[in-house]
Amino acid sequence: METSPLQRALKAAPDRSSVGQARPEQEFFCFKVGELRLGVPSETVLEVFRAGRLTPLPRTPAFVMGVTGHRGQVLPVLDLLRFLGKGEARVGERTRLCVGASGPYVAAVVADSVLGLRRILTSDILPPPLGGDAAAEHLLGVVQPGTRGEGIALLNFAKLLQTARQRAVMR
Amino acid sequence: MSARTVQDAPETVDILLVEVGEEVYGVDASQVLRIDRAGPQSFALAALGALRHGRRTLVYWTDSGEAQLKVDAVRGVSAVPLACLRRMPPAATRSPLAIGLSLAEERPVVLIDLPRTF
Amino acid sequence: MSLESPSPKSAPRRKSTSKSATPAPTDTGIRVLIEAIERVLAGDLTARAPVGELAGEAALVAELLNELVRQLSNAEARKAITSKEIDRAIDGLIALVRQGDLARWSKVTEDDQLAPLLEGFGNVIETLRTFVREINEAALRLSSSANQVLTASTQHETSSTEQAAAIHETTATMEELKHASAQIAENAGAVARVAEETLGAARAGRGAIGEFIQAMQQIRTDGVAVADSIAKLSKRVERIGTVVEVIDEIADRSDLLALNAALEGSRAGEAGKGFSIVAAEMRRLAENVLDSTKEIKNLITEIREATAAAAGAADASKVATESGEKLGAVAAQAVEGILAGVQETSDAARVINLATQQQRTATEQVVASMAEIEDVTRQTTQASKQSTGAAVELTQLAGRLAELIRRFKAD
Repeated sequence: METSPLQRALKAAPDRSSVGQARPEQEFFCFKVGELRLGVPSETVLEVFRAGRLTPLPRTPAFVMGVTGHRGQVLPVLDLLRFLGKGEARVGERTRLCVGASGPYVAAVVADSVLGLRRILTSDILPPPLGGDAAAEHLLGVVQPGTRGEGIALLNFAKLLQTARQRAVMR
Repeated sequence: MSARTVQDAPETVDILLVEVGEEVYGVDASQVLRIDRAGPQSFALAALGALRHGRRTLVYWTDSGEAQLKVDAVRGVSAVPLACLRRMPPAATRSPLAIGLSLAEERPVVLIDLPRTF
Repeated sequence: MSLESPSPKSAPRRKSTSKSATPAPTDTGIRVLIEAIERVLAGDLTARAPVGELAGEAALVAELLNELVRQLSNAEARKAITSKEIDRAIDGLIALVRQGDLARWSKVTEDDQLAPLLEGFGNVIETLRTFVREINEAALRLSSSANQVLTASTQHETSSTEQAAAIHETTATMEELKHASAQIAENAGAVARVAEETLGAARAGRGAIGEFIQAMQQIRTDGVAVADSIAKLSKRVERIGTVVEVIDEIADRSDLLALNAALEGSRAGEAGKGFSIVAAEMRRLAENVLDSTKEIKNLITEIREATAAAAGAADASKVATESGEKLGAVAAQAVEGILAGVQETSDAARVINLATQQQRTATEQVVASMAEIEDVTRQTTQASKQSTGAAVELTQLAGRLAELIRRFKAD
């Protein structure tokens, strides 16, 4: 008795989805600020909250937009656009502040909107282009625009926060 | 209460809230000798932002004598609980002027150390 | 004289013949007698027979003869005087006849027999003289009068001609007037017609304006209702906006909650995976809600703009309709004025039309009358020409009469 193509296909079908387990992947917290689509390892992001009005601080670098109080904690607010030299962020009603920690140093970065948590195949992550700009030193890699969405620059958030801290203090 | 016994600090601190431009700053009320109308000896602190008119002045003592800092308006003295006071977060600013923040208000208020304005 | 002479000659001859034939006393005496007789017969009435030379019977005969000659001589003398007076009378008559001289008549005469005749003639001539004098005077007066008549007639003729010309002119003018008044009547008729049409149009306009004002009032009323509706709609939209804001707020909070929950789940590793999936799903829902509320907000904004525009339009419409009503009222007033004016114009034009028609009739009558007058004047001119001719003739006749009468000398 001959089997139909469907019956043949069903015999070959797996018992469960094996995509996630079979191939290594990493979770990123993705957001948009200005024209940039950025992603940071999700474990470096503690929390996301709405930006209220910030309190500017005297004599700070331009990328430090000020401080904000959150859950009884004072957080410096950083503008990644200014930090990476890609323009200026604006704080509006829907602006999100994403809290990141690098050791004891905790700070928030401004995001126009949060794209969400994305699991990205390690194989999809391309190394940062050589001889890039100032942003390049903080890049983990890039995801090319394709079937899974637009291109995203993946940042080393911990390193970035450390650099910011150093710049703020050292200058 | 426990704070007083443990840290030997007062439960509240009197903070004088003043306005400079759109911003609100807090100073240690005990450091302010008096509040006066701005005179020829008054100076403005650019780091605090642009003044609207600067008609008021805070008179206080510094190492080099009496100083008069121009402000736009004086909101008054607020007894801020210790729990609401925060040290300046590490590396937020390298300015010695801003010594801390008060979370007693709607948003954090930068606390200025008046003797260091000179 | 020749008539007179034979009769006394023959009579004495026959007498002397009969006398001389009978006696013949002596030859010498007789001879003397014969000689005397022959001298007398020859015409010498002064011849006498010498009585002294004779004697007897011859002396007697001589005496008788002398007496006879004397008597004859007397008779001849008387006869000569009479003849002379007659001659004179005849001369006078000749002069009267030939020269019309009535002045040369003499009534004085020695002849008793002739005197009554001369007197009779004299009386007649005197009468004639009186006549001539009177006629002369009359002729003079006639001549003067004829001259006056001629002058008057000439003047009359001139004035008659002038009058004719004037009448002609007047007739022409009247003719023109007739045409003009006909034109006026026509124009007035046209004006009246136009005025009538205008009247109709203005009445229609009045009606239209009335409707316009009503429509404006209706629009204003409607506009008020629309404005009310807009205000209500606006309030409701604001309410929706508030609700949407609440929904938005909730959705935003949900979004953040879900996001943080996902982060929490992520930190929990494999254990938090399911949690993360739910959180992501929740976040997706929140995003959907936010998208929807965004749309709603956009709609609300649009509605707000539209209602604001509508409210503005309603306000503008209200203002416009109010000014429209005012304008309508003004227009109505103006049209009333126009109606009154046009009515007056129409009436006036009709009156003018009527008057000019009457005038035309009158003018025609005048023209007719003028034609008659012209005719009469022409006749008058003709007559006055004839009259002038007659006067000329009369003057000539008077002249001739005076001339004729001048031939008679009355004084």
